[in-house]
Amino acid sequence: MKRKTLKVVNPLGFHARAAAKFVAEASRFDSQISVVFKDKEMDGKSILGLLLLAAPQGGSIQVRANGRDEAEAIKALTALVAAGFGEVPRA
Amino acid sequence: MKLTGFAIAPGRVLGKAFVFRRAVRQVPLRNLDRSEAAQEKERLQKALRAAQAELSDLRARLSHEAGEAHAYLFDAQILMLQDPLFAGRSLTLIQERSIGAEWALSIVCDELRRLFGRASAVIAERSHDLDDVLDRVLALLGGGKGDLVLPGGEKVVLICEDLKPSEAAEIDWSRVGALVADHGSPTHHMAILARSRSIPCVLGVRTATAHVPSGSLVLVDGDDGTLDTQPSPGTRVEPVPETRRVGPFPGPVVARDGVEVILRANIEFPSVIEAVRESGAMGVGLFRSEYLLSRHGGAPSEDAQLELYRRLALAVAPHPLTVRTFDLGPEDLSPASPSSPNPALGLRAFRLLSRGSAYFRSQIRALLRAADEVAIRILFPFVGGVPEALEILALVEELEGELHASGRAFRRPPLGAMIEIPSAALVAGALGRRFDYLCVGTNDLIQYTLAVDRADPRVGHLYAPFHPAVVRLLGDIVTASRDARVPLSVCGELAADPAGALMLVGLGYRELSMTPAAIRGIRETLASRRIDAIEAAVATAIRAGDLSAATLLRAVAVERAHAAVPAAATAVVAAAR
Repeated sequence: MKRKTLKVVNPLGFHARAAAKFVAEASRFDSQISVVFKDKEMDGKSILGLLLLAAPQGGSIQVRANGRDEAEAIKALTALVAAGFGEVPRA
Repeated sequence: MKLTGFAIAPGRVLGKAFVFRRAVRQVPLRNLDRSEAAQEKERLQKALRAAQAELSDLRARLSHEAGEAHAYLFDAQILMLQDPLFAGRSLTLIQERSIGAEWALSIVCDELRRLFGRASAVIAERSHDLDDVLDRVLALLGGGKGDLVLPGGEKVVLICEDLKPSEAAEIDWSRVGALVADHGSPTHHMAILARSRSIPCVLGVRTATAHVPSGSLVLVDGDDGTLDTQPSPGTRVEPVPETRRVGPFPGPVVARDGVEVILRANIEFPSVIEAVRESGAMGVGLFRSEYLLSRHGGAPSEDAQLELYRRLALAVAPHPLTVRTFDLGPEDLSPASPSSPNPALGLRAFRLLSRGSAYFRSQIRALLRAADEVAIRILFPFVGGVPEALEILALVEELEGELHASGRAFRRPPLGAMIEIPSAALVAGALGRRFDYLCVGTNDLIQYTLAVDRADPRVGHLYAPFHPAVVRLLGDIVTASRDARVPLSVCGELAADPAGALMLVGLGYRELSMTPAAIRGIRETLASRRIDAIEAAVATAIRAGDLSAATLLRAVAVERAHAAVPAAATAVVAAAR
């Protein structure tokens, strides 16, 4: 299993649009994917689960992937979260 | 009986009523025999697949009509349908408890709603999406399509209590001759929809659904805002003539050489918002928000401001509402505080930040929150240079942090700086790299450049918009904004004067904001001319050192007489040289 700890940078945190993008990206991979925030671990391919994490901006999340394409999955999902799901306002 | 409401979109329509009443959904609580579980699960799977097909279809339509930015809400709903916590859990419940699909779904949704309620406020709002998804699947399980399938044949008069956006998206509007609703007002999304589709519309009728049976003949008058439930037998209506229709939203003026100029409205009072729409303006380029203070004696609450900004922005949607933050002096904050010895050069606007910060904070918070839902632009007055710009941007960032911490939805709208102090005009490029747009306030810029108080009758005659120094500053701002690649507009009385508007366009300005009453005239002034000819005439006059209202009007007036011959424009310019 691969895991990576990341900071949520977009202003609204893991809200609907961000969660939808994450699920769409995660679903491209065969690996089992989950996201951990505080004491909760949720299925990374479940939008409801990700919404229930309610991870805000600045929150530290851990993405876990387990399966044959786990390395690629972590790489792609890290890029998505780090880019603020494409919605970080300019400085 | 004649019922009255708001006249939203004009036209008289005589037609058969189709009354939409939203059914209260009964969830059948069925127990199953063990042997039936597999079949029941298949029934649910089928409904989920059908719901997904419907949503994908709606998403494609919405993305086509309203743009990709709005379509994402359907992405979230589509993913919810397939979600293990929704679909997977419901299927498990059917199996484990031997209950019907509807019962299982409602148990799952109740659980999820409880969990959402405990999460942050931003997330809690998403439970509406969940309800929408549940409604859709339940409707599909019930066998019937939604209640909004309009009958074939002639167009109907659609009468409803109100329509949710998701319901409005489902309706085949080509089958609707007129729209009447119990609720709603001129700023409701139904009003925007009816106007954009040129469907005669009356809203806020209160008792329409109670008085009109489906299938009865009714007369809708979108001009008077009435619904006649028993039109006399001889009533005839003319078809709505195309020219009388409101039609799509207004666009820019297109000059004879195809160059586009955007015209927006300056307003002081919310009550003139109707005049803005009638003027053909592309939204509001300047809302002088100080009105809020003078009338209430203090600033209204953040929530009251949010409501007002939302209402105004909806009224001019899809065009933006540009709100200038309070441009006030110390006497506005507290009548007891001494006004500056020279108010025009004293403590004003953001210079007061350290003293009146509560005013600015609640206003900016309200604007950031409104921008989450509607098209808002914030405009900061009286910026003198980069230090103020940094102070303003830091404050906005701080307030965003506060909003986020309290779980409020917000969005950063375009932030603009007024260029009205000569120092700002001289560093316009540096300001343009920090703001999203610049807006020249000509009244103050001219007054400060020439050191002339226009309101003083003894020196008022020295107020000269065509003074070479003013023209040079105005031209330099255009150059600086182009270099900084930042959008530029003008709001100020100069734009409302035909010669002034010609001068501004000739210098390169492509967005003018003015009092609504002037818009029609300026539109005609620009539409009947070629912009390249105006630019050439202004450049020529500047070189010759005789740019004035009279010379400019003369230089481009001839073109109008020869309007039928486009080549005439070039000839005039050549002659002027």
